[in-house]
Amino acid sequence: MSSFKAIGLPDWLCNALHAMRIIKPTSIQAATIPEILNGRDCIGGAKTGSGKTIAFAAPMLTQWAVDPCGVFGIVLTPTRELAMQIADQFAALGANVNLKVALVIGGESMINQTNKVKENPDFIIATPGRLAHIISENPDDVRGFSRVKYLVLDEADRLLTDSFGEDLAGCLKAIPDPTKRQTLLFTATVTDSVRTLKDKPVAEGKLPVLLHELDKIDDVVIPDKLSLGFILTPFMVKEAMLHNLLTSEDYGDSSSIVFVNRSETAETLRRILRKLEVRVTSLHSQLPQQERTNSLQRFRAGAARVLVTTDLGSRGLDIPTVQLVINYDIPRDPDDFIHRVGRTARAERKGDAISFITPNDLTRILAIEERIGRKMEEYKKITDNQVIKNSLKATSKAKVEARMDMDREGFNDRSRNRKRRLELEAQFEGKAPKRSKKNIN
Amino acid sequence: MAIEMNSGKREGTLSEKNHDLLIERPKKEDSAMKLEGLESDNESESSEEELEDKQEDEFVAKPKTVIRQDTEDEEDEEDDSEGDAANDTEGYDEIEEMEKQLVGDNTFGIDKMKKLSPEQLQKQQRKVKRTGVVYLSSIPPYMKPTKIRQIFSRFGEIGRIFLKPEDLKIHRNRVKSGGNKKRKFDEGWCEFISKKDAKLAAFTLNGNILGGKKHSFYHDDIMNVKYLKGFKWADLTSALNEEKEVRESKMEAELSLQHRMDKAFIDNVETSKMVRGMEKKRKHTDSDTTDVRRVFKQRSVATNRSGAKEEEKLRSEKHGNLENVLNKLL
Repeated sequence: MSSFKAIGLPDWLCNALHAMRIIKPTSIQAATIPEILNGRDCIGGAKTGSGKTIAFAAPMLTQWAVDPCGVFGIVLTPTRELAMQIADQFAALGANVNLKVALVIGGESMINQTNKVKENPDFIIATPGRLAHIISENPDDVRGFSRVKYLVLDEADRLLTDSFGEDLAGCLKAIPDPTKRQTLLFTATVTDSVRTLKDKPVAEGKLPVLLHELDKIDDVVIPDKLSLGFILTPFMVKEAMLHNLLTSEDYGDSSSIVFVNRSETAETLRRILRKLEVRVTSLHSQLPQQERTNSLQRFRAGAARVLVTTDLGSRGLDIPTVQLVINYDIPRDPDDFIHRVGRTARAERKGDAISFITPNDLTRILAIEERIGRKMEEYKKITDNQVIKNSLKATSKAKVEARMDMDREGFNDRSRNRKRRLELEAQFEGKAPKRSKKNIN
Repeated sequence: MAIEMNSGKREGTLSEKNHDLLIERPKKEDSAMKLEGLESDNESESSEEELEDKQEDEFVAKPKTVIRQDTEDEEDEEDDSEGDAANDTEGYDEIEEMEKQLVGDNTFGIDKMKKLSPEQLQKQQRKVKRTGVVYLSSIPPYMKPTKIRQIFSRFGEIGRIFLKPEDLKIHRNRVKSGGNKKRKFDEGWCEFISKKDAKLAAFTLNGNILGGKKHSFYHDDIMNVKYLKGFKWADLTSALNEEKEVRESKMEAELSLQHRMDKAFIDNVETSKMVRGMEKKRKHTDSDTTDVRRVFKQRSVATNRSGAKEEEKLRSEKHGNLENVLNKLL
C-alpha cells in the first residue's frame, strides 16, 4: 500500500494529510485503517510516534463524513497533555470540513466544557476523570453520547489500570453497548488487562477483533543511535552530579529532559537549577494546569533547555530536539524506562540517555537491562573531582534554599489537602447513614 | 500655635479615650476651632499641595524634608531619611519585598546599637522612647504615602510610614473591569518622632473630613486615626523579625548539615582513591585480595506487563471496577 487513497480514505482527507506533509502511510496505518473502515474492533500495539493518532483518526473521520450524527467518537487518554496533542491533530485534519472537537480535560473550567459537550461536538477528546465527572453531574447534557460510534482508548495499558478503573466505568455508563460501537485500543505493552481483552470470545454479530503487532511489541528495540550510559553516584550528591552534567562541555547547551519519580523531587530540582542559572522548567501533577501547559510550551519553543518531569512526561511527548534524557531516579517499571528514553533519538536522530545509579538501584538496573536486552556503559566524562570542584558547594546551598522556600510556600499542602479531603469523603460515605441516625435521635 | 495648646490640655485623657477607633469628639466647638486653625495652616501650604499632586504619578516619591529644621543628631537624621525613602516607595512593590524591607529597616534595631558608645546608646533609647505610632484603619481611596506624610507633618515631625497596599487580585480585577488603575491602600501606620504630636494628630483628624480647599481631591475624605498607646515601630516588625530569625537559624542548621554531608563525600572520594592505589600496588606483590562488600537494601521492581516474571508483577488489590470495564469494553 503506497498511498492513503489506496487504503480507502476519501479525497478530502488525503488532501488534508497532504497539507500536513503526511504522504505515505506508516505500517500501522496501512494495516489498521482498512480493517477499521470495515467495522472491526482493533487492539493495536504501537509506540508513540508510530503514527497511531492518524491510524484511528483517519477511519473515524471517513465514517463521520459519510454520516455525521450526534457525538460520533470519544477518545480517552491518560494524560491531559496527550489529549491536547490529539485534539490539535484532529483540528488540523478537520480544518476544511467544519469539524467540531471538544477537549474535556481536568484542570480547566468545567462549565465551559459542559457547555461544549451539550452542543454535541463531532468528537470528544477527554481524560477519563473529567468526562466521568461531567457524565455524573449532568446526565441530561450527555444524551448525545447514546449514538457514539467509536470509542478509542489511547495508551490502553496505562488506562486499563486500577487508578483509572472507576472513572472508565463512569464513562462507559453513558456510552452504548459494545455491539453498537467500534472500540479501538492502542497500547505500548501487553498487560494482563489487555491480554484478557485479547482472549475474550467475540460477541455475537461482531467481526473478530483485529490484533496488530500485539505480539511483537514486547520485543522492544532501543534505537541503535541511542547511547545508554550510567553514572554511579551516592544519593546525596545527585543534585551536584546533575548540575555538573547539565553544564558539562557535551551537554552545556543541548536540550534535555530529566526524569524523576516524584513531583516533589521535580519541583526541588527545578528550583535548584533555576538558582544555578540553568534555563529550566518542570512538568508534574502538582502544578496547576495552566502552568503545565505553559512549561511544556516553553520547552517546546526552546525558551527552557531543561525539562524536569515525572512519568507524566514519559509518554506521548514528541519533541524532536531533545538530545539527552537523564534518569535522575530509576523507574520501578522497566517499561517506563523504555518510554522515558524514547523521548530522544526520535526519527533516526542521535540521542543519549544517562541514568544515575545509587547503590539501592542495582536490582532495578539489572531488570531494565534484561528487559531491553542491552547493557549500559559507564559515562566517564564526569569525575568526582569535577563535581567537587565545580558544582558541589553551589548546589548544596541552592538545595537548602530551595527546600526552605518550598517549606515556606507550602508546596506539599495541596496534595496533603487533597488526600485529607478524599479521606474525609470516604469516611463520610462510609458512615453517612450512622451519622444521620444520630442526628435524628 | 493654638493647636499645641489644646493638645497639651488633653494629653492625659486622650490616650485613654482613644481605645476605640471611632471615638466621639469630646466637644464639638473645640474641633471646629481646630479645623479653622488647620485651614489657616493649610492655606499657607496649599501651593505645596498642588505641586505634590502633580508629582503624584511619580513612582518613587521622595520624602519631604521641609520639616527637618531642628538638627539634633545628624547621623540619625540621615538614617531616618533613608528609612523614609524606603517606606514611602514600598507601596509600589510586591508585598513580599515590602516585608523584607520592613524587617531589614530597623533603624532603631539592636544591631546598630551595638556599635554605639554607651552615651549614644542612651540617647538613642531616649529617642525611641519619645516616639509615638498612630494606626490608620482606613486610607482614603488612592491616597499615597507622600500625601499621608504631608497631612501628618502638620502636627509634627514624621518618622516612618507604612501603608499596606490592597490585594493584588482585587487590584487586577478592578483594572480588568475598567476601574481605577491607581493602587489603593488598606491600612497603615505612621510614626511620629514625638508622641505628643501623634496624640494630637489622632485627636484632631480622627473622624473628621480632611478639609482644605473645596476642590481638592481629598477634601471630603474622612480619616480614621488611632494613637497606639505604648506602641513602638519595632513592635510592628518584631513578629516578622522573629520569623526571619527562626528561618535563618534553621537555614544555618541545614546548611551545616549539608556541608557535613559534602565533606563526607569528599572524604570518601579521597579514601577510594587511596584504596585503589593500594590495590594496584598489592596486585604486583600477591594476587588474592579479600573483597569487602556492603549490602544495600534494593528498591523493588514492579511492572504490569503480562509477559514479565511473576515476582516482578505489580500486585494490586482487585477492584471490581476494572473488571467491569473490561467486560463492557469489547
